Amino acid sequence: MSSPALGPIVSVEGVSKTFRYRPYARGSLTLKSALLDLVLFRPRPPKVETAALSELSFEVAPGEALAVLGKNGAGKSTLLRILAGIYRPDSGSVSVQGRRALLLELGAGFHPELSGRENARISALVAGLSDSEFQARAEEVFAFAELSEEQLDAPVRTYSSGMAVRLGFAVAAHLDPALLIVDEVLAVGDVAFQAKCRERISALREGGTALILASHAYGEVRETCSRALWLEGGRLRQSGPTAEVLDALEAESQVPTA
Amino acid sequence: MIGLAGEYLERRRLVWVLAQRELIARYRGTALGFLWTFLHPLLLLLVYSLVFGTFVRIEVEHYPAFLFAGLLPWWWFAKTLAVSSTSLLADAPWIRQAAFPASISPLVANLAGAVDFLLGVPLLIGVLAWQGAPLGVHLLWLPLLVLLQFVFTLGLGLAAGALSVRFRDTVQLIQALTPILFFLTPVIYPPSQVPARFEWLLELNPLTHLIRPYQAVLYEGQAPALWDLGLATAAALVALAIGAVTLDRLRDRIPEEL
Repeated sequence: MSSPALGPIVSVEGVSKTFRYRPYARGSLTLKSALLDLVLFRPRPPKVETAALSELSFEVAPGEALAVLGKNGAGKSTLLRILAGIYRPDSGSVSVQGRRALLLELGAGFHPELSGRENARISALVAGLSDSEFQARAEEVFAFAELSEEQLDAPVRTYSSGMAVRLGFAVAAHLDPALLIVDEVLAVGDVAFQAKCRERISALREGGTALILASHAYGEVRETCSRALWLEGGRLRQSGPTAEVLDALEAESQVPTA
Repeated sequence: MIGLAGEYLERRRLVWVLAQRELIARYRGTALGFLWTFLHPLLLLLVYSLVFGTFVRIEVEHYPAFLFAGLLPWWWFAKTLAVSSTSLLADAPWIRQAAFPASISPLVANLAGAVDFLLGVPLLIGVLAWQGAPLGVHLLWLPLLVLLQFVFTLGLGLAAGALSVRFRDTVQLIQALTPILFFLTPVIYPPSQVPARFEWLLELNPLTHLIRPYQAVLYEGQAPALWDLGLATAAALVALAIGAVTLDRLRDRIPEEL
């Protein structure tokens, strides 16, 4: 288990992220046209900017569970990717003490052409485990994922979404993470497996693992997370105890509680 | 460049596992498996010798030995550059959805390519011995030549891999340019057959300075020309700098644009 750190596990300070791209008429940009533009001084289409996150700051303590809420496009996935170290923020700072495990979307981070076994090993190595550390817990991971030997040796593209999530969660849960980042996925899979995941998450949290969960399943959020961030257009709309934030959010969107 | 070295050092276990996997996958799928590694170059050598030695009659003593001394490193360069240029696209599931540094993909391609080349060296020595080439103490230059070529190819591979994310025609461009470069490198003909007024064409080509030392060491049994070694070293360092700078300029946007 990860030893509980004294300070916060995650601290995010004034993080902003803007996506920029040039809308080219013929779809994607080619090297040939880029070189011609340069040589002939041809005007290029101006960059289109989308602010995905602006000036976001928060902290997460060891063992704490934080929910990230908001509509699609509010910046939840961008925030999670920044926390995971995939995207770099344009400004501000992110610090995470210890190993990060992440579950983004369905079977994400898995290579469709490789077997489940190979993918699990590579995911563990990407997260920072050594090969011997992974081999030592491989059996446990595969048993947790409830996949047969044949399934483990088959390419991940042949997996159902439930199988991919099971394996993804099994790997993430066995990394001894200081921070577990989960995007939506836990609603997939059968009820028994969901219960097993919840149990595992509480065990990890008791050991000091912090959880950041982006979800539209408000029932689950209410049950799991003590604190919530509500993002709107990349800005922090409200933060505080989950019940308060959820009540405000639901009052506005008038969606019945899940 | 220092940042790149640090990243590679930190991720060496992942790199090692991925390179192993790449090699296994390369040979497992083929009908003749591992044997193909030896059969394919021998078949190609046979056809090249027949066409250029017997049909076209290039006047070189022990032509197959001369040919193979240049062809084997050329194949390493051409194949590895092609694989590197698509390596980031191939690893997109990891780069987009896990904290997988984009710089790793071209390195893995280059390591696998280098191992491919080294597996061919005993075959090369066999052909040289059979042709009566003067194999001697100058073979000790080989590790230096291999190192120079590795750095050169890695540099170009990093640049090509990173550019191919933004400019989707990079791969086709490389496919089109490689054969042109092949004919402007003295692999199938000796530099002595090039008329003086065209010599600059070869001298301008960095591959000339990488390939000629192999021919000196392997075919002629001589030390490589200092001129070639100096220029090959310069070319390797410039290529690595170009690769490191290109990747560094694009790296923040790579996970977003893939």
